[in-house]
Amino acid sequence: MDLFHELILGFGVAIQPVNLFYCFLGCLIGTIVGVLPGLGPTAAMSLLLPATFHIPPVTAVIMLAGIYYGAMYGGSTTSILVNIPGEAASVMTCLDGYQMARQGRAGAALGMSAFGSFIAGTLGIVGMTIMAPPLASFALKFGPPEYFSLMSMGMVVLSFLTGASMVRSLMMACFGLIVGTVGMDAVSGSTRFTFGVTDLMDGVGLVPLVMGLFGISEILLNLEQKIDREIFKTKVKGLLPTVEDWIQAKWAILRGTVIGFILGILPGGGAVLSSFVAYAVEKRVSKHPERFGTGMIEGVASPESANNAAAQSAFIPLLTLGLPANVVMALLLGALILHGVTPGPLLLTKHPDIFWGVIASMYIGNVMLLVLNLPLIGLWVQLLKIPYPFMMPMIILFCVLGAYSVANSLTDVLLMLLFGLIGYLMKKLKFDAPPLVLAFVLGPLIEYYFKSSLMFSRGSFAVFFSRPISLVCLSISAAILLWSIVSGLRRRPLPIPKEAP
Amino acid sequence: MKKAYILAHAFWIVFACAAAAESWRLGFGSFVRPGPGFVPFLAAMVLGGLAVAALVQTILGKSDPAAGGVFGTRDLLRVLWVIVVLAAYVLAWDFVGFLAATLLLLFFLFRCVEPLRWRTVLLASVLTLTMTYILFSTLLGARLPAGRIWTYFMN
Repeated sequence: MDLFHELILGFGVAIQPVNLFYCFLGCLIGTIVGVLPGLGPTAAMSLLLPATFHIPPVTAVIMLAGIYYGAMYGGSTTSILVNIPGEAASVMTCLDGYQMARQGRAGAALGMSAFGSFIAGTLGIVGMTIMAPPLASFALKFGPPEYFSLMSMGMVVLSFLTGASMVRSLMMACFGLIVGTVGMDAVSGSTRFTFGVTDLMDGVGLVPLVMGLFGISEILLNLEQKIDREIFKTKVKGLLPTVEDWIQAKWAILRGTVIGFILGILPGGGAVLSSFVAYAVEKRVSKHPERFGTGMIEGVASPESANNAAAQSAFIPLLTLGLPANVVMALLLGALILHGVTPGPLLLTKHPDIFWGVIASMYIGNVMLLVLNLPLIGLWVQLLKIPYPFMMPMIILFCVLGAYSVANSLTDVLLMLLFGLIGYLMKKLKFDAPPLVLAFVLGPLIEYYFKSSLMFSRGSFAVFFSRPISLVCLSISAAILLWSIVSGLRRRPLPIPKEAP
Repeated sequence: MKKAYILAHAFWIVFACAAAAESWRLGFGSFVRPGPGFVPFLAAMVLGGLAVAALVQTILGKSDPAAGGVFGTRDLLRVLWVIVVLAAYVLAWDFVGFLAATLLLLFFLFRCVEPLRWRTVLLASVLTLTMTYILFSTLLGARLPAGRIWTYFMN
């Protein structure tokens, strides 16, 4: 079957009414989540994960994916109108977007952001359509040592790129691995770290863990600060960018797309990093770098294109290698595993409906998002006016019921609260949650591949260094670790803020 | 802030030691035939090593006099208070049931955490409860506890 026929198969799945509905729902929720500061796509996906247990896996992934890339679209609205990023990937959009709004060009900024996102998102999916099948074929050559090394590399790269401190990020990855081993050992049948609690025999659930770390902890953090949203009072008009705007922004969109696409594939890259890099690159290549931050349309087009391209390309390693590039993809991996589907090279042959259905749904989702984000912009502005005191209890209740409804277990809810408190403390002390979640999700696989490799090689660690792909992955990990150690030793110890009296 | 980091790293050292000890008890096995405690033991050892390194780095680091503390006592108490209330709320499900417990929780959250007027509190609580009950119990089929106390009175 060639690419065209496979895409036809995908569209056949994606245009089924139920999938179209959930795709729209995902895009809608994603846009809302992106618009509202304080609730990111990760928290929203964690909240809705239990709701997907009642629907087929392809429909579940279509909806969850829609939330992710939908949030990338919606995030720009608050950045431009309120100067508060709706989610982390829209931070750079604040710089020029808000200035444009102050100059009475909010419509042009919002329009360019939506069109740039659409173009980048669509190009990202085209790239994914072309790249994913050969990569999946290549991954068929992987054995347990390759998978172990690849997953270890993923965790090291993620810890290196996302964390304020590499040491703390790696610590969280180890903690995630330990939490991932709670429950019954699949090989020996003995229980680990359950301490007599029967509900822990099946292990710690993904839903309580992520809901606690991202949902509850966010609420607890918001208890400390009063969330004021002052919307810039301007009439949003002229959403269609002018010819001049297009001329100024066209290369920024293309550069942002390429940067986002490449960084999205890399573990730890993702939408946030790509938007920062795209903005920096755009400023560097501009003839007027001094005007960035004063309302340049390139400053809106570039990061918005980059974060959308990255949101799409991040699916490539997940669908082809079973390796999540970021925490959102780790959630999707968890969701697929919960549905009995293991992403990886065999996904393409065993579940072509899921593989191509999800890809095709993204084409449709991007069109839906363009429609949702341009004509309905007034509605999203109104949404920003909902006071936070009204939303907070609802979010708490959704977290509690979401965690409970997975297995009708009170232990899961208590675990979620525990992880909420841990997540809150982690955020305060700048310990990063993404490596923890990635290690938790990959933990059982890493353990399986590690043990299998050792048993296969009769206890010899040489198996990881004698196979080229495994050697390359481990060399990259070692180089990153070495680089961190050397740069850490060269740098003077970071000053630690003194405790307040 | 330095104190908070020292405490945090010390906690991770203790945690790593406990996890390593428990993993060893579970059975490390051998490299040829790894036991159930093999991977958690290695993970705990690495965690412990990293925590020691971080602790040393923190102790040797200088304090920035301009920066504030990580935790304000009032904020931390507020967070702990909310967690305790949420835990009590969940544990109360079995006795008073989901509906009564949730209504009380919503009153608390709307009134105490972010003070609103009583009329608004009442309206918002009832609306939120109805909405979530319909969504989770009716549409998603979650079995929400009715509460032993009501079952007792009904019988």
